[in-house]
Amino acid sequence: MRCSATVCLVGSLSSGPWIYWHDLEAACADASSIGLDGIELFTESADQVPADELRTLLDRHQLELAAVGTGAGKVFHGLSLTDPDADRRAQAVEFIRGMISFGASFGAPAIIGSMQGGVPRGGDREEVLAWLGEGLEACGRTAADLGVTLIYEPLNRYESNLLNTQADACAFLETCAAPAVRTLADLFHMNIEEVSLPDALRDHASHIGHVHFADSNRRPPGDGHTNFGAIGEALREVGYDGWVSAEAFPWPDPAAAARRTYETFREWIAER
Amino acid sequence: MKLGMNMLLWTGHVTEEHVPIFGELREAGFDGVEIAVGEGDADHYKKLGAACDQVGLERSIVTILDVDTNPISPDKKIREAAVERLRWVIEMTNAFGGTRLTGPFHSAYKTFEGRGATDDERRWCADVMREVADEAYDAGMVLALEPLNRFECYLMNTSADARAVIDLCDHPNVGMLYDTHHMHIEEKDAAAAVKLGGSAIRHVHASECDRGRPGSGQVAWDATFRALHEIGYDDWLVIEAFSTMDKDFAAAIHIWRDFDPPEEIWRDGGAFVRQAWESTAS
Repeated sequence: MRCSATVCLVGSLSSGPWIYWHDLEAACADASSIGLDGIELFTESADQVPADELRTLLDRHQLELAAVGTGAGKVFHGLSLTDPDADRRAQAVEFIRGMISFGASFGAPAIIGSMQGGVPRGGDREEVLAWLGEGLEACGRTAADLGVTLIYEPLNRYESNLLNTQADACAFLETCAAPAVRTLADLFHMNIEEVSLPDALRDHASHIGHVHFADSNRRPPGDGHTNFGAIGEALREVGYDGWVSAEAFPWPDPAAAARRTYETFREWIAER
Repeated sequence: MKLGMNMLLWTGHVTEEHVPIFGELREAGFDGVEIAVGEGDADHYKKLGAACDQVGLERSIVTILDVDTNPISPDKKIREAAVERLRWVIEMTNAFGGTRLTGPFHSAYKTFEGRGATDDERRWCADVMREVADEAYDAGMVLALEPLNRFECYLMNTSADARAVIDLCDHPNVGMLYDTHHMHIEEKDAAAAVKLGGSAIRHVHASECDRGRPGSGQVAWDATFRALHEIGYDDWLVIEAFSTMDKDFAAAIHIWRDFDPPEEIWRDGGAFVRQAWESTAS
């Protein structure tokens, strides 16, 4: 398993569950000095950071790109895969495809979180889920063509009314023709929705393609009540060999949050 | 300890059609029911109270406020509207025969300002509560303010946040409601959160992390109950769990799926809460 931390480069955002903020070079230098293996990037667009520049930075600091987020499509353009307007859905797919291709040049998958949208009040849930399936299939084909996975993130009930648990997300993916799509196991969302985190990780291991590392209160791992020993045991038992990436509030500050993350990873998660 | 069941599992507004449930709850060993007070009149609540008396159930209520009756609005008129609304809730609770007026009525439900709570807001809330605390006392009910998780309010998310307002209010009839679902999300350590609440805790909601059957999920039941015993709490444990039976209400509180069969929630959940409470008494 490899450990990474999130970096938010979306200029208009000033708070959210990201460890590093606004300065990519400083983030890379700090992450590397701690011993993190990579960074997960949230950018405004697929070309905000030129690929050659990013490659130089990553190489210099011996980091990998763990994943790229697609949420800017929602934040800046109001796009989602479940917009009732077919043209808008097509634009959402195009935006995500851009991100998939940006990530793929570094071997990193794109993550679909807020871009999944939701069922509007009075909307038809079945129809909305059908749109989600079409969107994941279309984006999943692009990912497969480029040799990467695509990560679908079930969110907690307060952030999405679509699919809240690993079980529901995996069952849904089984109905889609999207073999490149995996689920994201976000430990903060799972703290609310799952009856047991280790059981959910074991039961859905074959679908899980990425792990978001956060404590019960979304502070850095180790600053809440989540039992990381049991989580590490489950991940090692199922042979999970992907990223464990900190998507948590930069509490008390980014540098301390990143160190806390890595200490908890080394102590409880990493292979012995 | 007294074991209660919140009727929100079935509906956001209890009517006579739900009365048969009261008898089933009593038979299953519940001491009381809790209902939401949002609409209806004194006559309506009086009838429901009489139905509870018939089977021997005590009662409590939960209520919420909105932007037009927000106790922490900078607009004095809106804070006065909060006092008026709470007076109406006290009247309805009294008609029902409730001894606990509980819920997140410290601030407008799901209303955010894009920042944390301010000292002014805490003071306004304390002032509104003090304004109605004596009337509630005279009507035989305690006010218990409920900290909610971050997605549902910002004035109070933790025991410490609740204490800040309750200490400012400084009225013996105003305390807090400790809800295990919200605390599971917000607190690092359930036992420490209970101890911090201390004597301010006047009501407890037993609610699982996913709002399903108590005992089926991640809530730290033993640690929570041990701490409650330790602070000398010996009062209501009310199960609050949700289902999709009342679609509109379910959507309003972010319930998109069923967690456990409703009958398991109250029957097995009730047995679990009672057993866990007794086994943690030392």
